[in-house]
This record gives sequence, structure tokens and C-alpha cells, in this order.
Amino acid sequence: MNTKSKAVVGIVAVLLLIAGWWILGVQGTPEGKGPIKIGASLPLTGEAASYGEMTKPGIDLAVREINDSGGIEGRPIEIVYEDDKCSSEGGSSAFNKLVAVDKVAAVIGPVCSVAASAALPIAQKSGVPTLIIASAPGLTKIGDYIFRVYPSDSLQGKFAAEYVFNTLGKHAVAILYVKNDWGEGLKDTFNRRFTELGGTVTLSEGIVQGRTDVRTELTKIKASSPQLIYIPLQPDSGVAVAKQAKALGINAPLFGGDFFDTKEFTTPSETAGILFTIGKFNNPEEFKARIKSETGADSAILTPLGYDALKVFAYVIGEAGIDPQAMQRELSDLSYTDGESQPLISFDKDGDLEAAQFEVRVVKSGKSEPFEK
Amino acid sequence: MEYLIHIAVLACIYGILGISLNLVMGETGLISVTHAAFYGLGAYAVAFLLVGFGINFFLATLAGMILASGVAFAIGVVFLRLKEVYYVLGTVGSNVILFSVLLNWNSVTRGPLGIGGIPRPEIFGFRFSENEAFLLLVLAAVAITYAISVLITRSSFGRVLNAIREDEDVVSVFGYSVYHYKLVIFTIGAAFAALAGAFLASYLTYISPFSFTVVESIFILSIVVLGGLGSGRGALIAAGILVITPEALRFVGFTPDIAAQMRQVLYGLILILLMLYRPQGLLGRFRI
Repeated sequence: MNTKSKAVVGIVAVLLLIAGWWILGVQGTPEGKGPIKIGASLPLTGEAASYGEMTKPGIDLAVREINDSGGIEGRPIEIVYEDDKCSSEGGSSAFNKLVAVDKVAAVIGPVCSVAASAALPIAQKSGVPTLIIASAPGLTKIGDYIFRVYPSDSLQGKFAAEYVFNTLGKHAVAILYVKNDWGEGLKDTFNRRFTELGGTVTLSEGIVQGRTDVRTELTKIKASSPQLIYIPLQPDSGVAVAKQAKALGINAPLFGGDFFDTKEFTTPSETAGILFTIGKFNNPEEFKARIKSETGADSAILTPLGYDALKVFAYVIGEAGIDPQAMQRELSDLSYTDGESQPLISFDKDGDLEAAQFEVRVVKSGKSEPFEK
Repeated sequence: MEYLIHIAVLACIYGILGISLNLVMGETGLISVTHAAFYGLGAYAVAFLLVGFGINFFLATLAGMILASGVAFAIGVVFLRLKEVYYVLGTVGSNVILFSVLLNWNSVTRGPLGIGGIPRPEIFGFRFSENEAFLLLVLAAVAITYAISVLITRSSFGRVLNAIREDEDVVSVFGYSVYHYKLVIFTIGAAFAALAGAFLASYLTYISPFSFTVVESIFILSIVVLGGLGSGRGALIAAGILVITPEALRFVGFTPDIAAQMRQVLYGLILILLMLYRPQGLLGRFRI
């Protein structure tokens, strides 16, 4: 090694030492006084950053309201945001930091199932109550400290299948789904329930996330002549399907999933009339206005959920204190009725929403509204 | 402390990746953008064998390394005959193909859902379930990888590899089969990438295909470039820097509204500055 290289190694070593000292110096939530730390693991950068951006204003508003009214028994809430980038490594790093360094009393998130799958074992092992918004089936089975304020995909796929078969009366359906945990989960449960009911799935095709040229798949689907096409896709691919299906002269109606409830999907004129299923959450006008005036953001589907998740923790800590076991018991027996997103938040034995409800919405003049047949 | 151990484990895993790619790229001059695919093969082999059949971690790791070497051999047979940029594109293509296999072969890989509940390594009844013990195990793996890499570079075999990097034609004039030398080192590099994958799978206890994209290959490539081509030690230090910097930046007191974005910007800036002021990498002696 020459002197220059030695200097480089020396500088790096010093920087690492400083970083380590810094990390060890961060304070956790002390017993009895000072702020109560709650962590939030959200995708704040990368492809899925929009989910994080939707959730954050809700959490911010809840924190502000609680702290303005004197905190929880005199202790303010301090929220620690960590970016999990919607990846396994990111989720694992975010939770390791929140649990070991910030010593948070509870965690909200992740929103992405890939991040959640790697992160939740850490929360469970350290006994940190966690409210997730990710939807992949099975996540809540990781342990008894994991609760979910968003309905599992398995329920949504089942609901969609029953609605298409019974209410819309379509018995031959093609599926075009996005190849990620969400799309795959919806496709599987839809497929199973729909065949159980006696329907036929004429063709099932998956596309990778972000694909916007789906002519090949649509041509195949057209040849299989379905009565309806079920499209659990992300908004960008969904818009592409709507446009390209029209161009190819496909007349079968399109039926999507909960990600279609964004401006990106409802604004283009081609998507008018498309139906989709969504967890029945409220996003009241009064709440939207409060979000707008307090944080400057628009309230989208995940915003009231972020708000409720924090309020639920505040309620639980108010009842049980910050002892993790007491919080876990309180969450198991929870019956929270002051939420903005849904009338009742209570969990079943796995930690999934007990009263998960869905509805079908339709795209109409640039917005979505409840659909009545 | 737990968090520092977590970062150290990740740094070690990327250290193994850096050292192994350095053998291919730094010592032999073969730019390879498919390292993440071999990393993924190792991870999936371990996940599949441990979760599906309860095979011992160390045996499964060996199986993963053999699998990755086999695949690398097949890819190498085809692509190592190609020249320069065609070869690089070939490696990008093979990463894309292997990623698609992981994503679509649902019956084995569970597709985009990934495989969860992967147990920690166990030997003679001792389970490395605590992160401290796991870190010691990964450190041992890094030491072995590094030692083997030093052995290779100091051997006469390694000197031929270096000569290939400097001038292929001259080497073949001297009667060496350049193609076979390349094939051997490409295969060895893949085996160690699989070793890193095995540790990742067992450490995170969950893997999904999205950890093994071309973007990940480029990240590993930047470890080697930052560390300096032809320096195993450099790759090790660079892996540390690239893993620790984004984590350390979590502690820079940005306001929460822009913290995550600023972290990415600063991270990029640090890399650009490093390349501007040390284009040969931290400990490198050569440029591509």
C-alpha cells in the first residue's frame, strides 16, 4: 500500500468510527417522561414512493392533533420516518434502525409486502407492536405483534370473484395481472373462488410491473373470447390496457383492483366506465379539507389509514402505557370506533381486520364513485 | 448495537460480492453485469432446500454454489467468445433472463411472493439465530473468500488473468487458451456470488426476485469500480462504504419531508465526488 492508499483507508476508518459513535448516541423512548417515539417504515423514494407520500400526511396530521392537545398523558409523540424503498433489504434496515437505535414503542408500515416480509420477523422478535398497511396474505401470520389496518388480498380477490360471478353474471373471464405479490395474490384468490363458483377462466396472463405495451396479451385474450377481463394491475398498465383494448376492438368489460383509485387512472377518458374493487374505506370531505389545510397534501386512499394507524397507537398507549405486552393485549381486544377510514377497527386472531369490507367503484368523469348495479 | 451488527452483516455480504466480482472484472478485465443473478441463484437454492427439504444450511450453500457455477459455465461458454461490448450486453441479457426465471417459475420460487421463513444456519446443534453469532459466521466467510482471492491472484494462474486484462492477443500468442482462463474465473466468481446469496437468504429470512435485478448487478459493479479494479481489499472497503453511507445518512438531521430524497441525492453526490477525485478507485492501480 502506498501512502496515498493508506491515507484513504485512514479517512474511511475515521468516518466509520464517527458514524458508529453517532448511531450509539441516539436516545430511545425513556420510561415515564419525554416524547414517545413511534416509527414509520414507508417507501419514500423509488418506484413505490407514491404509497409513502399518500400515507405520510395522515400520520403527520394525527401527530399534530395529538401533540396540540397535550400529547398522551402529557408526553408528546415523536414520529421517526424511515425509507424502506419498498425492498427487502430496505425494510430490514429500516426496522433494525427503528427497533435497535430509536427504540420506538410501535411501528406503522411497511406498505409494501416485499419490505414487510423481511422486516416483520424483526418486529416480532423484538416484541414491537406493528400496524402494517401491506396487503399480501400471510403477513399477519408472522407473529402476534403484527396487526393490519388494510384488508388482506385474499379477501379482495374472493370478493371480486363473487361480485363478477353473482352480481355481474359473467361466467367466462380472462385475467391479466401484474407480476408482483399484490397482483399474484389477487389473481390466485380470484381464480380459486371463481372456479369454485362454477365459472371458467379462459386465459390468465401476467405482465411485469411497469409494462405499458400489452397488445400481445390482449390479442391472446381476445381470441379466448371472455365475457369480462379481470385486470389487477398498477395504474400505468391499467390505462394502457384500457386504451389498447379499445384499439383492438375488445368489447368485454374491464374489472380492476384497488390501485385504480388514483387520479393517474381515472383522468384519461379511455378509463371511463371501468369497474374496480376496493377496500371500503372512507375518505370524508371534512378529513380531506383538514389534510389540505394542515399539510398541503391531497388525501388519497392510504392517507386516512396512516391517520388511523397513529390514532390507534395513541389510544392503545393511552390505555396500556408503552409496555409492549400490554399494548399487544390491548390491540388484540381493540374495538376502535373513532377512525376516519372505517367505522370499526378490530382484529381477528391473526391480526387481520375483522370487519374488512369491500365495494365496487366505477370511473366516471375523471373520478371514481360507488357503483350500483 | 444491534443496528451496527445489521449493517456489518450487510457490508460483509456485499464484501463477498465485491471480492468475487473483482476476480472477474478487476483481475481479468471482464466487465460482468450479471453477478446479481448468481447471487440470486445462491439465495434461492438455500431458501428452496432449507424451507422445502430441511437440508443443512452448509450443504445447501454448497449446492447453491455448484448450481451457480454450472449456470455461469453455461453462460460463459456462450458469451465469453464475444468481444467487449457484445459480451457486456450478453451478461446484461443473462441477468434479465435469470431474473425472469426467478419471477415466473412459481412452483419452485413462489414467483413475486418470494420465499419466507428461511431458518438461520445450524451446525452441531448450534443455531446462529442471534445476529452477533451470524456476523462472526459471515466474517469467516469473508476471510475465506478474501484468502482464496489472494491465493488466485498470486498464483501463476492469476498472473495469466492479469495478462489477459492487459492484452488478450499477446497472451494467446504465448500459447495460453484465453477463453478457458476466462471461463474458469467466471465460474469461480459465480460460486462466491452464490455464497453471498446464501447468507443473504438466511440473514433476512425472506427473499424475493426483486433483490436480484440488473440494478443490483450494477450496484455490485460500482463496488468494484469504487474499490479500485484489481484490489480485493479495495472491494471490501468499497462494499463497506456503499452499505454504510446510506445508513449513516439516516442520521443527518434533515427535516422528515425531504430526508429520504436528500439521502439519495447526497449518496449520489458522494459517489460522483469519489469518482472525480479518485477515478482509479480507492485502492485501484488500473483503469478500465
